[in-house]
Amino acid sequence: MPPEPRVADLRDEASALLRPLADLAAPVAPDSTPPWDQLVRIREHELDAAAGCAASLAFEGDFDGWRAAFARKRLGLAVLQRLAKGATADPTTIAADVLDQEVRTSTSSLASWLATLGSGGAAAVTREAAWFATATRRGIRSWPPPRGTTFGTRFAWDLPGRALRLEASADAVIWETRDVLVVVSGEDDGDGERRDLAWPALVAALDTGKLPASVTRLDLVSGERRRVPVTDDVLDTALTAAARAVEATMAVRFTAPPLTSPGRWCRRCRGRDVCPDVRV
Amino acid sequence: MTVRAIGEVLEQIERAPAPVADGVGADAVAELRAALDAAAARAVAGLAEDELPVRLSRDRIARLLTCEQLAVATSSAPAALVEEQVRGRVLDRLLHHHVHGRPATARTGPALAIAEGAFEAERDDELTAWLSGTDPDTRTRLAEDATGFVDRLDALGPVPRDWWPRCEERLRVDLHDGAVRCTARLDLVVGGVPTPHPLVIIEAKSGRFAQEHRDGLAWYALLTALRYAAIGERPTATLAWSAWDGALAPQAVTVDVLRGAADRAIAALDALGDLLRGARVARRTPGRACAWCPERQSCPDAA
Repeated sequence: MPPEPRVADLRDEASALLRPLADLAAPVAPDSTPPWDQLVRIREHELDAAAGCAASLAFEGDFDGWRAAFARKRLGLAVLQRLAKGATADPTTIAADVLDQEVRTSTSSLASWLATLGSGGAAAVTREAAWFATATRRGIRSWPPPRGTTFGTRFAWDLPGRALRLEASADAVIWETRDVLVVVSGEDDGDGERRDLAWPALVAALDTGKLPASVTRLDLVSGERRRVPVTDDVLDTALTAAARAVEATMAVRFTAPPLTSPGRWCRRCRGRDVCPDVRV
Repeated sequence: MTVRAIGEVLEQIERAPAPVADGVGADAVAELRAALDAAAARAVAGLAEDELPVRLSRDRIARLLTCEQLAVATSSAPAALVEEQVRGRVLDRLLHHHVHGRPATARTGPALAIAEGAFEAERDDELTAWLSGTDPDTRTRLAEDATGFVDRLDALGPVPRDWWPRCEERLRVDLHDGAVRCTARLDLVVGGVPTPHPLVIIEAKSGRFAQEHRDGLAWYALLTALRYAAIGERPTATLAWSAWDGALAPQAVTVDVLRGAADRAIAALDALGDLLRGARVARRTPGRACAWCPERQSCPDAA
């Protein structure tokens, strides 16, 4: 199905903005799949790093391993999906079953890690998933959600001509009304909140060819809920963030790392032990 | 002392008349919120932008009201882990295992290994390093305590799953437009929306329950009432459980309980504001807390 006219324009706009910044990325022929080992991925993490200290991207290596907090959302969303489909068991019981199923049926790195856990580790993971599912369920005002609502949807869009992919995750999508829900459980500044709202809107539009109507950000810890209609301003915010993240990621990978900008993000940076400008 | 099962106590709480009759309505919560916002505004008056937000936790309130110098000392230099804290965290992980683990695996392996498995899954490197580097006598003591905790948890009985139990529920309440940030992590919460049961906050302690723990629970009840004010939900009761003797102490959340917690927080905020502005020197109050104060060697008033 062809994209909506506004999204067709948006794709052109994104291509025109990002293509010069991604010129050093591997070329990709029309209608071809980008080579996996040369693909530059721009996700929420790259956006946040570029907005804080772009130089921190130089310290990113391979994923350094799973932990209970990382598994929280992935398993918690699976629990919510089952609750939405009418499961009557409590979140802990469902989470334990989701964990078992992941170990039995998946070949993911998460499944491999879960399989190594003893009963104490498995209980810690179950605890995180149960809390996430319960807190989100308590935060969703209308339940059950409309038919066709999905939890844990990934959106991706490949920049034409270059091996660069924009990726975003939406914690829930109500397709009927085109509403996107993003669930967070940590503190952020105003810019971070705006990115949380804008990024999934942009990538969902580029990916599906349809413009979401609104994005809601729900903070499970404070209960704050912010809903914004997807306007041109929202899409501009996301495009600006994308440009900054692409520029920083390309610089780290192909030219020289950007200058450091120390701040509160130093605490989470993998380069904090070697960076001369670290502020902890 | 009779040790009662948690399921039975929760049933009693559910059958008891709701304390809403005692005045914990939306108006009372709004009134407390306004008083806390005003105290937060006083506390941050004159502070620079980069000093915000000011953090207010249960422990910070307790320290400010116990010995202001202890609060100052621990805010600038976080103390290294000590055995007592590790014991508390071991208990927390065993409680999580009791609530979220599988009944069939509940008693496989030594109790301390269950807690260590949780720390590893959480990638709590500080605690894992502490446990692996501690001397054999301390480790033996912790292992014995952990075994005792599991026995007491068995006596506590299963937490009814239809109450949707969840450990480590995080809360944040911002005061005065976020200038003061109150955070909490609750040991165990059961009930509330969307279950048909009342909301109950449960706190586990490795030692006997004391007044400071009751004050902490009241603060949690207040934060919970403020956090869920938008949906009109308030905790009905708190439950204090001691892993030391298995005692389970329910406390109805009345307006007086919430007001007492708010008064303590307001007193702590007033003191904190003075100290942050450098308006006066921190008061030193010798007492039991001197034992874990980072300044105990140099403090002239240490008990």
